[in-house]
Order: sequence, then structure tokens, then C-alpha cells
Amino acid sequence: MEATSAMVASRKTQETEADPDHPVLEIRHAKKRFATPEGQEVVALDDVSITVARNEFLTLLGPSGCGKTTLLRVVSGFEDLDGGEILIDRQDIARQPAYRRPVNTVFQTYALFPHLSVARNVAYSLEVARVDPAEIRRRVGEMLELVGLAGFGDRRINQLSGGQQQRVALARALVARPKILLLDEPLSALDKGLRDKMQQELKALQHELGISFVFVTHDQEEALTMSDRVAVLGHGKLQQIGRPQELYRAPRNVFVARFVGESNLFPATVTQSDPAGIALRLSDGQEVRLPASTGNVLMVGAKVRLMARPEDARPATGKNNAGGLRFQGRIKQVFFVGAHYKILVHTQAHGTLKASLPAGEDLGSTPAPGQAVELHFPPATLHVLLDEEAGR
Amino acid sequence: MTRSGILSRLLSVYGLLFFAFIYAPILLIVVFSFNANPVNMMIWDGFTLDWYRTIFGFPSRLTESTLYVESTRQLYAAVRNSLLVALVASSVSTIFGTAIALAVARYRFRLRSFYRAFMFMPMIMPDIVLGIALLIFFVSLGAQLSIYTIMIGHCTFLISYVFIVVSARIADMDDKLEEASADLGANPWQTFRRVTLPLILPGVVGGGLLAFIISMDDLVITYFIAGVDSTTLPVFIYGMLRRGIKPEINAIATIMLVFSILVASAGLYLRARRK
Ligand SMILES: Nc1ncnc2c1ncn2[C@@H]1O[C@H](COP(=O)(O)OP(=O)(O)O)[C@@H](O)[C@H]1O
Ligand SMILES: [Mg+2]
Repeated sequence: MEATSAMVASRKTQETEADPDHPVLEIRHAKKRFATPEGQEVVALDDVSITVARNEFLTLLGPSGCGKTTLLRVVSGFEDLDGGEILIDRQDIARQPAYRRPVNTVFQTYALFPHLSVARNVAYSLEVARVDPAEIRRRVGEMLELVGLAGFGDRRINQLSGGQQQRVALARALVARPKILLLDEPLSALDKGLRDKMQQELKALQHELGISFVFVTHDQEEALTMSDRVAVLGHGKLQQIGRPQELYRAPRNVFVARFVGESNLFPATVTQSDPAGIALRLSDGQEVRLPASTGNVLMVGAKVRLMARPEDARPATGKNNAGGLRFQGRIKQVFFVGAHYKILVHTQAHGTLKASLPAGEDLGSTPAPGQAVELHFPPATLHVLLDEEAGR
Repeated sequence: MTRSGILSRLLSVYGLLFFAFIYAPILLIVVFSFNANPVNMMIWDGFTLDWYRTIFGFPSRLTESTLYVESTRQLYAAVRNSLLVALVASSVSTIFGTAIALAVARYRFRLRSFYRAFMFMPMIMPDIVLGIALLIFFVSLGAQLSIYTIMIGHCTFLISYVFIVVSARIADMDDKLEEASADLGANPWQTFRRVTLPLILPGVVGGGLLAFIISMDDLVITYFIAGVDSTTLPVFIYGMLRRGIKPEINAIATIMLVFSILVASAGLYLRARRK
């Protein structure tokens, strides 16, 4: 009871007591195992450590079954950790039951109360915290307005569209001003147009309310669009955490490179390594020199992967011969996507490559299946990947 | 006529016969409860309300006959006993049956599936076995057979019916709703009162009404465990029958029928209104 009213008042405490530098949420070495009915063990969280800053929009990104929901449930209090700790405003909350935690959730299926009106759904957390009815009415009204549902208060839940239900779920979770809002794939049930709209609205809402959002998705585009930072999860492990640009430009391992954006990956061997840079040889024999990266020092003979993003491909010309990688092949398929063409190129040595070429005004140069092409990736666009994935 | 035409016609005839088979005896009882012939119920002798007058203790042709044994008071006592037993037993069973259904649905504990299967047992068990078992149980405890032993006895199997009806309702409910409630700061009691109970209420009410009707209706088990002064309506009717079928039994049966239909429709109405 006290904790819930504390949560309702958390807006004030956030502004006064909280020092803005320490993270709102710290997940330290979280471990969680499940026993399957067949008697096997699934490691859903394997030593995951993540911090979420005040006001931050953090996205958990990963394929289905990688432990995203489990991580949220551990934070909200519906699963117990097998190891590690969870701190909210520097306070270990592992022992607190779900209803005492200053965290609210937007569920994937919304989980709206079908027997209550829209307004009563939104009012729920305030009602159980025994907030003054007049105050409840005011805040519910404000919240409904904020999510664009003013005037819908008396509706029943089953009289709303999917997008409207989504907004009610948001309003319901936000009205008590939690320190952290958890969102478990909230947009996955919406159609594309509505999803894009809600992405923008969510981002704006987060900005306006100043509440930290932990947003779960398996859609990398969504993650890149919305987030301040993205944490990529794979096989229960944190693969990488960083700003969307970092993840995209400098994925730490193959798993991230594959999952975030599209990429071409070439196995390569280090043939030379000195303070100035490294040289790599691809399986087709071509060599490429790259400037030294700040990361690991590579040993000669090490096996690595070279990542090249499709949009960095250019048609090879005499001019851009210096450095980088070149591939000759034949166009297999062409997809016109407005600003550019996505093309699949078949090469002898490396199978199918993905490239995207700007769609110029020049209709004469339209790529077509069957054409021979030579693609060039400049050295600055290439990125060396060491491992398959974290901890493997 | 085509083959399938004949078949479908046969099917409708079959359907009619089927309903006739089920409802004709019941209909006959209702009709005969208004038959003026006091000796042979099977021969229609004109319309009368005498039998209803008799069971409500008003003077009638029957009460004036010399052979008439006054039993209205016993009948009332039996009805009162039945209502009391049904009310107490169905209330208690509704509370416990609902609690068990929630426990089995929401908590993981050892022997959970065993427990679930066990809840069906009293329904499958032959009434006569249950009756004898309860009798032996009460006797060996040294308990005096009374209206209380009937109540306890009824609870043993009514809990099963409530359990099954409520369990079906819980299975229909989205279990994320309770999580959502806790997530929004409601403690377990608040979650139960504000979310779980309102959502399973139609099942609870339905289960309770079913238990009430079954309790009102039970003869075999009650017969074994009823005390001398705690005759219920079915036991009383059974006793009357042994003295020969009398027309007022038809009237009693008709009233019981109407009562059951009213209770059942109330249940259906409540359920429909919730949806
Ligand atoms: N209650 C549970 N019992 C057994 N296994 C579970 C349970 N919850 C999750 N898992 C398993 O843990 C892994 C991670 O699940 P989850 O967190 O739901 O993944 P995601 O949300 O990323 O799709 C999966 O392999 C899943 O099967
Ligand atoms: Mg999930």
C-alpha cells in the first residue's frame, strides 16, 4: 500500500531526491533458467547486465525466444532471478513482490480489464492506491487526452479498435507515473501504418513524460528508429548494447551484424598486423588493407569476418580502384524500393551478395537480372568482426 | 422423393420422437396434476385445482374424504428442510468449490493433477455407494443423523459440481489480467476482489445454482443420511409413493418443476447478461 502511494508520488521524488546521474534501473549479472516439461533446462538469461538511464528509451532487441520477455518479467517481478540483482534507484528490489515495484508494463496482448470501462481501466492503479477520487478523475482525463482518447472514457474495452486498446494500455500503465515503463512488443499486433504512427507517438510520449522506457521488439528497424540505446539479446546473452548508429556501424559480433540491418559477411584471414593497420585475405584471394581499429589487436593468421553493408556497395569504376573489396558477378534479382534498388548479385566465390544502389534519374542504367556487374566496397565501409556471438 | 429427402424426413421424425420420449412423461405429470379423477389418474375426468389446494392445506374434495390423512404439515416441513439444506450446502460448496478451482488453476503444487482428477470422483461415484459410505462415516463418528448430516453429505459432492463449472470459467479467463492488476500495484486481495472475482462471477453463480438444484433434487444419498425428523422433499415424496400414487404428488412434482425451471433460467439470464 505504502509502496503504491510512493509510486504515485514518484514524480516528486524523482525530481527532488534522485541524483540525475545514477541509472534508474541496473540489472547486474541476471541469470534465469527454466526447466522444460521434458526435463531439459533452458537458460533464458545468461549473465545479463544492463543499465537504463533516467529518461532513456532503451530497446531490447532479439529474435523470438532469446529471453526478452523473461528479462522484463524479472524486472516487473513476475519471475524470480536465479542469480544476479536488480536495482531501481540503487535499491535492490529482488525481494519485493510485483505490486510493490515502481514499474508498470504494457503487455503484448494489452491485458485490459474487460469488465471495466476505459476510464476505470486507466484509473485502476490510482484506485488501488486509494488516491482521492477527484484527483483520479483529473489524472485519468489528462492521460486519456495525452494518448488521444479524450471522450472515450465510458466505452467498454470490446468497443475499441486494436490501436485504441493499445493507447488505453499505455494510459493505464503511465497514469501512476512509474519510474520505468516496460513495453513487451506492444506494436506487434498492429498493422504497418498504425505501427509507424504509434512508434512516433510513443517516442514523443516518452520525451514528454520523462519516464524511462524499456521497450521490447524483435523488429530491428523499429529498434533503430525509436531508441536512445539498443540492447541486442541472443541466446540469453547480451550481445551488444549501444546507440543505434554504433550497433549498425560497428557490430561487435556476427550475431549483431546479422540481426541489425542487412549485411554481407566474408570469412577472412589476417595476413599482416602492425600498429598502422591490418591486412586481410578473403577466400577468393583478394587482399584488403584496413586502418588499425581501436579494439582488439589481431594476430596474424586469425580467422575473422569482414562485414560490408549493402548500401555501401558502388558499381566499380576505374577511379575507385584503390583499396576495398571488389566482386564480380551477375544480377539475380532486382527490387525497386523507391529511393534505391536492392539487388541480389550472384558471385562465383561468395555466393549471393546483397547490394543497394541509388536509383538515379538515369533510366538507362536501371539494373536488370542477368546483367554482369562489378561491386566495390571502399575500405572505410568495411568492418572486422571477431566472434560469432557473445560467449561462444 | 430423393434419397436425402427421405433421410432428412426420417431424421426429423426421429428428432420429434426423441423429444417426445424425454418430455412426454413430464408433460403427463403436469396434465394429470389438474385431473379431477381421484382414483385413476390415467383417465381424464375434468379440470381441477383440488390437488394444489390440498397440498397448500385448503379444504378440497380430497380433504373431506374419510380416507384422507392430513400430511400438509409434514410436506411443509420437508420443503423447509430441503430449502435449508440446499441453501446451506450450495453456499458452502460454492465457496469451497471456487477456492479449489482457483487453487488448482493458479498455483503449482505437488499432486496438482491428481487433485484435479480427484475432484471428479464424487460425480462418477454411484450415489448409493456415496450414501452408504457417508452413513458408515457418520455412524462410526457417533454423529446423530440430522439435517446437519444431510448438509455435510451434500457438500461432499456439490463441491465437485461447483469446481467443474468454475474451472471452466477460469480456463476462459486471460491469466495475464491478474498479472496486469499486480503490475498496477494491486495486492493479492485487491486483485481477487477487483479482477478475478468479477470475471469468474458468472461461473460462481452458475455453479451455485446448479448445486442448489442438485441438492433440492437428491434422493438416494439423502435417504441414507437423513435423520427421522429431517425428511427432505424428495424423501417425503418417495414415502408418499410407497403408500400408493396419489394425485397430489403430481401437483407437488409440477411445482418443483416450475421452481427448477425458474432457478435455471435465472442462471442462464445472469450468464447471458454478463457477456
Ligand atoms: N515459464 C517458462 N517455462 C519454461 N520455459 C520458459 C518459460 N518462459 C520462457 N521460457 C523459455 O525461455 C526462453 C526465453 O523466452 P522469452 O523470454 O519468452 O523469449 P522472447 O520474449 O525473447 O521471445 C525461451 O526458450 C522460452 O521457451
Ligand atoms: Mg516475448
